[in-house]
Amino acid sequence: MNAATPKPTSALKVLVIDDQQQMRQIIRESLYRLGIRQVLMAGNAQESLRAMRGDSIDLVLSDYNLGEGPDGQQLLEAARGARLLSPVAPWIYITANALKADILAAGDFMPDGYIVKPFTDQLLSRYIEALSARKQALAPLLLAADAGQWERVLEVAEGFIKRSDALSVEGLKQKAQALMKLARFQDALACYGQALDMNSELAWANLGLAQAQRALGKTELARATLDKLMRSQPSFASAYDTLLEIAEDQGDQQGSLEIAQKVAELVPNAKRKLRLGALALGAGESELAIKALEQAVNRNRHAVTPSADDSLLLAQALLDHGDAGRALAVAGELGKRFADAPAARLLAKALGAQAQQRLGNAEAAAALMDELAQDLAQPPGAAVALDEQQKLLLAKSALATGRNELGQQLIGDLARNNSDRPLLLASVLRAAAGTPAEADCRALVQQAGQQMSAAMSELQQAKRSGDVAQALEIGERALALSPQNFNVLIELCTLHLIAMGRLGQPEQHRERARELLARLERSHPNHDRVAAARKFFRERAGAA
Amino acid sequence: MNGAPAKPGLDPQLSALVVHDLKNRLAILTDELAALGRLPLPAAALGHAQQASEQAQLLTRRLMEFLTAHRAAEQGGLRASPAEEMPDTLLLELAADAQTLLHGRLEVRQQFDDNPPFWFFDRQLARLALDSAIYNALRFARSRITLGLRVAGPELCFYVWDDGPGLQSKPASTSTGLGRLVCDEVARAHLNHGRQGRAVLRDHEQGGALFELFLP
Repeated sequence: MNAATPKPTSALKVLVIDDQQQMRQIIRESLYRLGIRQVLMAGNAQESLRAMRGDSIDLVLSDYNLGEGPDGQQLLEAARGARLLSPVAPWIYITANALKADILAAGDFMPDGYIVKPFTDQLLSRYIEALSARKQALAPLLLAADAGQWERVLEVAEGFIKRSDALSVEGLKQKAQALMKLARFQDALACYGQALDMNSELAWANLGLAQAQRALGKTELARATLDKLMRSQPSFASAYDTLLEIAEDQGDQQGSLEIAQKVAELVPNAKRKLRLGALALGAGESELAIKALEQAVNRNRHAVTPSADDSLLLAQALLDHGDAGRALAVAGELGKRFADAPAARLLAKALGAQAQQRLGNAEAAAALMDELAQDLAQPPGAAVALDEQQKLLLAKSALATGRNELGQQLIGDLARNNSDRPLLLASVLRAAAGTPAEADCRALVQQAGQQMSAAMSELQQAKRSGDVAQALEIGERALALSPQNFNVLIELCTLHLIAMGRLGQPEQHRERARELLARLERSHPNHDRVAAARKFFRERAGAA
Repeated sequence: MNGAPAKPGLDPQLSALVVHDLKNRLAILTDELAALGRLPLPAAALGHAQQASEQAQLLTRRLMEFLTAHRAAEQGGLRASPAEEMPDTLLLELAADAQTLLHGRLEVRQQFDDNPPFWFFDRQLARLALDSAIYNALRFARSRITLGLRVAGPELCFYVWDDGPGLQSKPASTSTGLGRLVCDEVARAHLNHGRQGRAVLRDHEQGGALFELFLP
């Protein structure tokens, strides 16, 4: 990554990305006339990524539509996500669309600016100079935020806020984000309020306000803030994303589905189509799931980092819809395409087995499930890691092919690990519906719910009575039963930090808390409660 | 009824797509004309290339105005996405572009009655509205136009003042009204704490026409 060293415009190294050779040439000539001689050209995503890996790029000028393959936004997300580009290097779209709303709605990483075609040399020059100067001036702030040094961000941001110029608003924005990361939600709320006092329509500040309200447990207030934001900025996709998270937390299946549909229409990218497909599949809406997942598969076909998830869910949606033939074809293609990915290969077999069973080929199904059992019987270190959605697909395949023991074991694990996720529990029950083990599975889910709720209430009781040692014991027992349960992990991490001052062996408790926090950081890096646990860890045990 | 299928109306979505396509082709045409203008051609040929290039740019602006008006007519209307901007740089940018178009025919003055370090507005939309107002002023100005900036209470005001005959003498028939519509919609799209932006076109006390874009 680049360090932030101020450069004159003529010394900038610029990457021009456009699928049309003629347009690349026009832009390069414009840059030459502005005195910029170091110009790299790329006609597609692969060439662009290669250029960013090989050279230290100061500025990217990219077309939004790149023809076949990933679009400009997918490329921007891949480059920023993999940190191939310095946070100080501006990304400017050259687009045919006049209105900002189209770009605003585009995705998670925002471009630094955009120029509408056609443009004059003069305009291009002004944009490059203004954006480069702005990012160079903000470099200490952007670099600290990029490195996750939130205390440093607060310190630097104050300096910008005091300047009372155009950069002070960016200072306020970065400060509020750092406060959220540091779990200082009340302070973040005030900071967003300060920005909104200046202008009530700032989309980022309204979204931040809602997120801070949500983190403080004021869910209805957060919802109202988001509703207002969506009325004033109907294209601001992040508002829908946050509202969707709230609906999912509350187990509002219909509401979640409606919001996911809206946001997938607004920003029809692979990520949003996949999310809609997964929700529709969980809700038993297989037709809607197939449509959304087919679109996700098509959009993902040229993704910079392809994922198997959309095809896996599509195969299941096709099976649920009664189209075993197509499901078998999707699973077969998946197995070949992701031959080097153990989880995808395993699930391709599971879904293939389900399809064979439906097609009346019980022997072929059994053979695939036998292979799969061998794959699963690896020693713990070599075991294939599956996420919750993948475990659910596996459970469904096992139950559909008569491997009830495996199916029920997975259903029990899922129910215990996700006792706080009502939508996932509904999907678990749906996975068993119509199979001979349905009643047993329903009992398992019920039993898991009771087990976890009893453990949590016992733990709360021990906490209330001040018996930290007992609370710890209950928490560790609960975690052994449900190693991925979010609530248990949070409670136990907090308890170990409390135990440091109250019980003996503070080092041991600190290490255990550190280990639990690391697991939470991996599974829920942006969750408010993880931020709060991180803050508590820092207060009790110093730097993590 | 003779059973003939009903004549389908033009889908508004289709017309927007067609305009987008036209605009993209114009972009290529503009670049070609600019390239022509850089060749060692006789002065008269260069003059024609320059005029053609300017006409292509004006046409592009009209298409952008059309697309903006189209967006404003859609459900939900036109929405501004305000961000912190430096108003003086926008004014300087507009003045520089106007100079390029005029080739010294008229004087372009800048007047900073106030100069706040930043203001929240949608730069792209504000630029579109002001471009339109400037183009209009250029048609009627005798010797100069003044681009200015002031703060009027809780509003920022960009203004364009020409020294032409004023509103009374302007024949309405020469204008489609699209530019004015876009200015109104852009102003309306700006909101802050319940206050809405506004666009005003009036006679200036000292003569000529004055266009004001108030942004809350």
